[in-house]
Amino acid sequence: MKKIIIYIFIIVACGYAVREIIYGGLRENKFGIFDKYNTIFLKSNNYETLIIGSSRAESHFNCRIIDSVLKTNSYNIGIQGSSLPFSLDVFSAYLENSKFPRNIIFNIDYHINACDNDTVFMYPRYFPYLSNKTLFKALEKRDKRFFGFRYFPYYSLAFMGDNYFSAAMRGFFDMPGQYDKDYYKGSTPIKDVKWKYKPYYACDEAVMYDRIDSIAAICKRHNANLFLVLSPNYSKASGQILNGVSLIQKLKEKAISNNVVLLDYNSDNLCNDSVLFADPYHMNEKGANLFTKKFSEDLRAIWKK
Amino acid sequence: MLFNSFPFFIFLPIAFIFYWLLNDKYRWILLLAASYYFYSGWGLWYVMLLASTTIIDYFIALQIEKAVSKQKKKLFLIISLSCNLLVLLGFKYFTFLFNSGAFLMQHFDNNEVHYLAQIVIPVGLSFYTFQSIAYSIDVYRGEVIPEKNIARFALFVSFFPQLVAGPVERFNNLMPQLKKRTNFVFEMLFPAIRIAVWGFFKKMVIADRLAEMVDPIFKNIHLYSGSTLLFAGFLFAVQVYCDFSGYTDIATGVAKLFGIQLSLNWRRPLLSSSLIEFWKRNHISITSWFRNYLYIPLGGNKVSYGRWLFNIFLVFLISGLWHGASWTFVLWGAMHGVLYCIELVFNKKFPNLKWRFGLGHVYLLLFHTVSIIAFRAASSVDLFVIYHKIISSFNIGLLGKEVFSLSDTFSILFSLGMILFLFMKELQEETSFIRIPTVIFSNYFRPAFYICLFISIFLFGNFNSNQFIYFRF
Repeated sequence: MKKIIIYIFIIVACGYAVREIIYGGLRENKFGIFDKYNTIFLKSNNYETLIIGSSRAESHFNCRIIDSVLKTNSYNIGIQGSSLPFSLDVFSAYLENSKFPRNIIFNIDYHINACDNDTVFMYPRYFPYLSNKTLFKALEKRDKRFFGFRYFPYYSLAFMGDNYFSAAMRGFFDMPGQYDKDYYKGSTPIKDVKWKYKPYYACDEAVMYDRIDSIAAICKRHNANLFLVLSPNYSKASGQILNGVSLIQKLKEKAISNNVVLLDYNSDNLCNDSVLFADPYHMNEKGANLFTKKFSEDLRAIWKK
Repeated sequence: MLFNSFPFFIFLPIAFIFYWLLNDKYRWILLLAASYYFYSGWGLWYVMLLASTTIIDYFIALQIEKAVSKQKKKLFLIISLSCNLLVLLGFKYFTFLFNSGAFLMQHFDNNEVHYLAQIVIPVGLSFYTFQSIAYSIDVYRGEVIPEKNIARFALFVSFFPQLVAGPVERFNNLMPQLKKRTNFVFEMLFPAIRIAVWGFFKKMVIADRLAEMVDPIFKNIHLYSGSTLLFAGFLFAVQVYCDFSGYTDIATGVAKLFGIQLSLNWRRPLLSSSLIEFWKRNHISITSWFRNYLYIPLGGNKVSYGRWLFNIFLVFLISGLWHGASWTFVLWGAMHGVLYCIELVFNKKFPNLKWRFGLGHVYLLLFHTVSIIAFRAASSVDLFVIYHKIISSFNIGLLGKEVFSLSDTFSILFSLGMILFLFMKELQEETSFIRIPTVIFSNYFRPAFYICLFISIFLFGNFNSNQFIYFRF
């Protein structure tokens, strides 16, 4: 019996130790996705301009161009697969350790067909950052298993796999992974994939408008500038959003009522050129650079005013 | 319910705790209920089928015992065999036979024919029907006294650790253990957990990772060179071994938790140096089943030399068909049958000839690799395409490029490293080339080794796999 208790203790202790080693390695990453997550959820930052949103924000706004055109210090906290409410939760988690930015560029994903859902895309990526209370609360609200992921090492390890192990080792040895070098201050281009789109109704739920109200109010309280952006979708895909026109109109009204600027690029010429898109809703590197330049110049003009 | 599924990790501790808490008179009842509950995870129809064949075999076995004349005994045995084989035929072979017939018809008169879609084979059907057949034959031969309690007999057929993928247990080995009243001692936990952990490691860390490399190659055979296809065959051979022997190890470990010792099913077959040796080490329970219930009734070695070789070939052919209802499996059986006979003839002609410098091991691995591709090929046509490519477009230069395009470098190197680790572990078991003092070994080295394995399962194991290869057999 004594032997069994000792073994159980060793196994449990080893579980925690191994998990901490892996998390330690991931937190040591100075390149790529984990460097970005470290910045958002752990580090203390003081960026002047912050880009919020989903993968569209992550891929469409190149911080190198924004910094050079606007002479600002920006960071892109757009996260793949995040819904509009989750993007704002990520922003709140960012604020747990960092200063409130002066400018917030919020790319609204109006094209998605559900404003929020209970699943978190690639959820093991968040495991090393569950000490960030705001993030943990946001994740646990969506997926109850996060309690187990935080406190039971073998439960979380089972969902991670060797990709995380190799990323942790890369972190310890300062070696960038295959796609890590594509990241610059949180922004990264998207590679071309096969296209597919069909008619559908996009998200038109109260939660989307409520969240826009709430972030506008928070920005006002912190004396920060909020810019709502509808970055380009491929025009033929936009045409498939059956309630697209009325939705954009509602968003514009929402911007006016909150007294914030909304920049809509869905009628821009960029939307017509399929060569600039990796898929119907994501521009490729070339398209993203053209868009970021255009957007930065527009924003500079607004700032000048 | 799969061994590597979350429900099983809830089910097992509950069954284990209640089993040992219960009065030893009633433990077997709990084990029976647990076994049927375990099997019901695949569907109630499957449970009904299992229960039906159990009831039939139970009553027929009693009739065999009661029958006075040999002819009557034989008649009841034939009824039992027919029932079991009909179930196997209906679920496993009907579609194969129908479609083969339809294919022939199409060639004789050019009319369009309709092929049947494969019926879902009840999980473990081949295993428990073979166990029941063995029981009926043993009763007929007078080697066992039939069980009088139907529920106990049902437990023999359905004992959950070995129900769905063996080992196929003999009545004389399993039933006395199921009846024996034992007390729980903590020391019995350690070997049980050790063997189960090693089984989980083989299944989840080696087999399932190799599957991620093997599957894309065999799904797109036209994209790969012959050298890569042959290499994929080797990986598949290791995958099948780790998948199936991993299952057996888990089953053995789980059975040990209930004080039951299952029979040895695998004895490091990939370290064999000839096909004859391979079949003494590989899937031992089913090999001995074929020897006892097919090869010996055919006359064994007490027939003419030519007939003896033919019997062996026939046994391998049927064994191939047992593995799967497809011509590729028949071909696999034929390949093994032919080579086994060649080895026998060779050994007779040159009794003192010995393979040197590991050549026997290389020969066996190469043959096993080539033949097991028949297990994995989607169809006979695919199989011939693969063999043709291995001969005609064997380009070793393309191997590295094609293999490393499958996944990231770390993942591939790790999987290949795991094969080396498996080889070293098996070699150590076989030859004890590393000698560690017993006290250090049992107090420190062995616990540390298995704790590392346990952690590795969580670190590198594939928790998304939902199949064991041998379930389909």
